[in-house]
Amino acid sequence: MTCRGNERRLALFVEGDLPESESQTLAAHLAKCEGCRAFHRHLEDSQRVLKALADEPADEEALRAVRTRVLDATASQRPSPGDLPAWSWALAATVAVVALVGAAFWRGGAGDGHPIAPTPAPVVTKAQAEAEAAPPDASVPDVRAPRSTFPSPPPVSQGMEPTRADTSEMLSPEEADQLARALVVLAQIERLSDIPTGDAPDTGTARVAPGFVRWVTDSPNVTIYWQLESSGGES
Amino acid sequence: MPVRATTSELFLEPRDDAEDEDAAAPTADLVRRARGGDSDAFALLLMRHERMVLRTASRLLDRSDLAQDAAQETFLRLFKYLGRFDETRELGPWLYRMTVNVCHDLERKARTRSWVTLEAIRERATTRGGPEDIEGAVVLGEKRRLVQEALRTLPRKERAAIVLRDLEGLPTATVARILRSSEGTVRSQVSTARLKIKRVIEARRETRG
Repeated sequence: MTCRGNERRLALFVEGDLPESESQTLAAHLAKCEGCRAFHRHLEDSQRVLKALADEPADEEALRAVRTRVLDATASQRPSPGDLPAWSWALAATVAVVALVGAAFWRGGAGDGHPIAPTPAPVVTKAQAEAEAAPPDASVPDVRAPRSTFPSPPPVSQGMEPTRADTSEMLSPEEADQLARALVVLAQIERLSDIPTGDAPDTGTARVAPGFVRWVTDSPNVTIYWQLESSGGES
Repeated sequence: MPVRATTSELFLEPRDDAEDEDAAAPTADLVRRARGGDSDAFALLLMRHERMVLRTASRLLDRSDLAQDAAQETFLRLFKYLGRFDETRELGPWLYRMTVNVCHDLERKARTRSWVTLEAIRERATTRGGPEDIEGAVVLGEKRRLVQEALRTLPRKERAAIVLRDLEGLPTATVARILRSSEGTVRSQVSTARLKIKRVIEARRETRG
């Protein structure tokens, strides 16, 4: 039987891994404790068995096999040149994120000096609404917003800025997703029930509903509108 | 300690003096030359460290076929990352760390696949011993099996610590550096592993009378 707490110390002592002062104390204890001495002897024995593995000769056949495979695989190649320091990767990643978010914010705004936010909605006219029900015609440009996992913005009046019907200027679904992920942490959700739509042309559709959610982000240029359908679902 | 292999292990033909000088070249020089595309320098680096890498992989993985794969992958990564390697640093600890990482990856993949290779079956059949085994081989095989069995019972980190400390004979500080851990943690892992190995060995001896 070993003294309480000595087993772990003995497991270090047996290979000289115990600090000198502790070693001396333990050696003095071993001189007068038969239980700890027996435990120490058994540890020495198991360590001998363990270390017998270290003396085994190498498997020459395996060495040759590995050597041949490695040299064959590298025969026609050159090692890659030195890489940039590790911090350069972090810098590159940061620049990429900033560029991506920046591009998403300002895309399409360069020509008229306006940022894209708040994301303009396509103005859906009565004729277009009627056209929705009809089969698609290749000669008529489709002004409907592309499907996105990000909620569509509500219709905006022509008097409200900026109004563009050109869906090519809108965020792609992928960009919208990226933007949403980037902003959702910062966003503060504010529910509005009466965003003015009086000046908007009559859409003639049932898609316009009174409920909207506005996400006010930390960026003064970005506000995200989320339209709620009258059924209670999201559009 | 890195084993200095002679070039005759790789090349059977006689070597000239220039190549003997190569064999004695400092590792840093070989790294620099290998980085520049000198395949002989890379071959020498390989030979200088192959025993260490294969030995460590064998103890960590307990399967010869996987250990060879691990050693191969370790040297391929060395080749790939030579450009990044700072030749003023020691190559040994870097290779140990890479070996431990590669073994961990391979072990994880091997665990997800539940098949056993023919190589492993053959290996186990051989170590089980047959009538042709001489007594010494039986004793050695028995000890190896016992130790491998004990090592298998250890969690990955404890196994890596005990293999590097007790089987590779590296100082605790070096083991800590290789495993990116603290000396205190390594000491704790090593003492736990030694106690577990002792228990496994004693239990096996008792069951065998």
